[in-house]
Amino acid sequence: MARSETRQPASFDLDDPSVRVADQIPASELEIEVSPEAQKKKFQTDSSPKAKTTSQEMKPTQAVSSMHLTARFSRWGGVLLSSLGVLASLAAGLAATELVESLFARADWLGWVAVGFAALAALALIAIVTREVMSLSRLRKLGRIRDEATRAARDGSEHDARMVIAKLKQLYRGRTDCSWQLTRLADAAPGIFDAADLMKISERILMKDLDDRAKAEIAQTAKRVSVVTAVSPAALIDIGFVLIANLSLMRKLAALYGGRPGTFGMLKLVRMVLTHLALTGGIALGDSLLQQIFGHGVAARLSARLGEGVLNGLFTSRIGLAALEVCRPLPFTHLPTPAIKDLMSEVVRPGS
Amino acid sequence: MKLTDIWDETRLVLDGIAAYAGETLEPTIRLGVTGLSGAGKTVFITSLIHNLVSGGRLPLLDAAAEGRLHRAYLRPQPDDNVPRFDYERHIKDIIENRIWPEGTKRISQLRLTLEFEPVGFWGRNIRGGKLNLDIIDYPGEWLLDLPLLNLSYADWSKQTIATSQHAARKQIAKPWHELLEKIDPSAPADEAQARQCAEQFTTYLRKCRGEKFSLNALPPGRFLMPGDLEGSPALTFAPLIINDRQVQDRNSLLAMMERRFESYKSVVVKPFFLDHFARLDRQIILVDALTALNAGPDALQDMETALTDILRCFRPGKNSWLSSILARRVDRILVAATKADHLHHDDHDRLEAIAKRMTVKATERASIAGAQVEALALSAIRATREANVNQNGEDLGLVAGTPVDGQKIGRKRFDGDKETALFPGDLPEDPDHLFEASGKKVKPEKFRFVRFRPPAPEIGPGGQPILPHIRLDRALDFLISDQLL
Repeated sequence: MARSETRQPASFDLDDPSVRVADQIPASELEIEVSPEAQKKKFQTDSSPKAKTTSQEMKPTQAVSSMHLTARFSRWGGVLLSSLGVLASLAAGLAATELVESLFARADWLGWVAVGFAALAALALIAIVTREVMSLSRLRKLGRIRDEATRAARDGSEHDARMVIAKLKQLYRGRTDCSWQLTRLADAAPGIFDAADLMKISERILMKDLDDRAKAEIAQTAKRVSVVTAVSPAALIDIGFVLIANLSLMRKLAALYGGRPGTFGMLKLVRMVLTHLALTGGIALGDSLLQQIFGHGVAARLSARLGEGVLNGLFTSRIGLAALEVCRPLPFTHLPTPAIKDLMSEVVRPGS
Repeated sequence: MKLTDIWDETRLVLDGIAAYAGETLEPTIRLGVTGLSGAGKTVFITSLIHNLVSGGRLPLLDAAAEGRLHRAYLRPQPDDNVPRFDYERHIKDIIENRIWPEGTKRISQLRLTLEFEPVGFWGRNIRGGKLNLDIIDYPGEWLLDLPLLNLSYADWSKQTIATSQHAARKQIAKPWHELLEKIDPSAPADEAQARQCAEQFTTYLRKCRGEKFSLNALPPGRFLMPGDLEGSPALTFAPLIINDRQVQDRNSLLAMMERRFESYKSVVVKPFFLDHFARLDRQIILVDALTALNAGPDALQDMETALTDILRCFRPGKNSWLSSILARRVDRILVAATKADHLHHDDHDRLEAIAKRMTVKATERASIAGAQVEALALSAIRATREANVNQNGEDLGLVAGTPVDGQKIGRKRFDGDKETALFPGDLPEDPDHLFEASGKKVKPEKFRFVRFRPPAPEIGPGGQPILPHIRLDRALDFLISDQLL
């Protein structure tokens, strides 16, 4: 920040209208959306190293930002898809118009009924599209908050960190299961002035409980998948079950962290999870390779079906963990990144 | 620096073994809190205890944030011959009377016991969830005495007289110098004359400490902070002008001064070193960089010298299980620039940089020896709020609080009742500028840090008053968090 040389010590009256005391700065000011350009600019200036004693070393897995996950179609593919889309909607519009016209030709009231239903259909379509767009943007927002939080914790200013916290508050506002945490965060945050520390307490206060629930959810699903695979009579049944269980797990995790994906959001989420798995697969494999060989090997010796069950359970936990990392609006900095081994004890434990 | 001989080492080892045996049952951490006079030691300890005992906001102390810290309470201290830190009176001063408590005059101690939920197998089953935190408060001036253990009277006299002839001090030392000229060291010892010398010398030291000249490097420290020894012969000595030609007569003034200097070392310095200082585990050094900045670059440089001397006294190093039996070492040292609430948070980093700059040499040494050293800007009790004002198109970060009666900024004088917002001036981005300016004339009133009254208490959810702070929890986290696992 450039500061002019002439700034001399001075005193001001608190009644002076130009003096704004920090606790009284309107909340709306903290919730300004950062424009994409400003963000880009921030990204560029990012590379300048700024000594910050509190910044934590980033773990390599966290370098997987959502930038990678939103890999785009090639440009021509996009043109093809959108022109096909336009054609399809034109065809649908034409068909509808023709239908209405021919109905009018038969009887006026039939025509009006058709018009009514067409309008209703259009309204529903708009509603669905809006919902999908919102769910997509919510999902994207999670990734964006995570990127900003990573930057703020590394070398951001205190203001950046407060912006992230304001966005988190917006995200979890109105959720009864988060209200206690939000109150605690609001209580603790004003007395802290370091970006990294602010990110630390937000992660610790807001994410702890959500992480635990997410882990329990993953373990539960993995366990169910294992058992069903082990006992199912036909391969087709367990393929179907694994698919459905995994999809619903992803949806639950996204909802837990504030994503609430719709249909397209779900597709996008699946793609993000798969991309994440592809990018971090190597690391995760190294993490639990030994366990896998051992676990699978012994289980498979005992029974082929049991071995498959264990394998499917592992697969589900892997998917779940990837979904967790994709949906979590803050990077794992102070809380430990959950690994397969944290879940395995839960998966293989009898009962419950 | 070698401060101990073989017998001292033996004693420390025996103490260490005894302490280790006791600690397997109840782990204890001895936290030394020091700093030069006016750095805020008493306030720091009071706020630390209050925040732990009455469940203040400590979001950055891991155990507290994770909800593992069940309770903290005061207990009788282990050493019966050390005064107790008068927490109750200090907290009353701050919360009820809204005045700052009286500063540290002598060593004092307090034991705080923390009960927490231990983590992991070892903690849950063997170690248990209790930690005794012994807080030892002592004046930083006493530390300046430790280097005396290696000096002879003649060397000390020469050094002290030489420093008193520096430009910044020459004027203050004038009456004392005049007296020195008149005295003949080889004359027969005369108690009246000795006392006169000591008085003049003490006056000179005191003057150096006035707010205008915040000169810190002033051993012997007991002359400024006499504790209970005021007036005793061990404090009635002063440096003399010594020539090598002088005959050593056992009854001369010189010989008497020398004897007293030696007894000062053996009666005052050594017991402090062995009984308290060498048994510390953790140390926090509070630095009031802002007052030094107020006083100008010379004071700043002086403070740097004093701090380097202080830090040189520590026995830094990593504690292994063996070394914790044989001889304790300070394995974490925190240098904290206090009164960070006098600045807008934009300048906290710069304050931290100044603290770091002042301790850089000593820090390197400690890091090599294996101790962890960190510097941060904190405020044990936050007396201000932050505010902003737009002046000439520039956003000024202000602090708002109630200045202490009689403080001045420019021509304006505060009455101690009205809350006011202040812009204290910008700290330079590069702290080297401040130190380089030493000796040169600086523009007056580049910064002006005004003292604020303690804040009006805020009442917590349980009805108990809450003391707001800045980074006190982070300091605590650095100092004791590894013991709360």
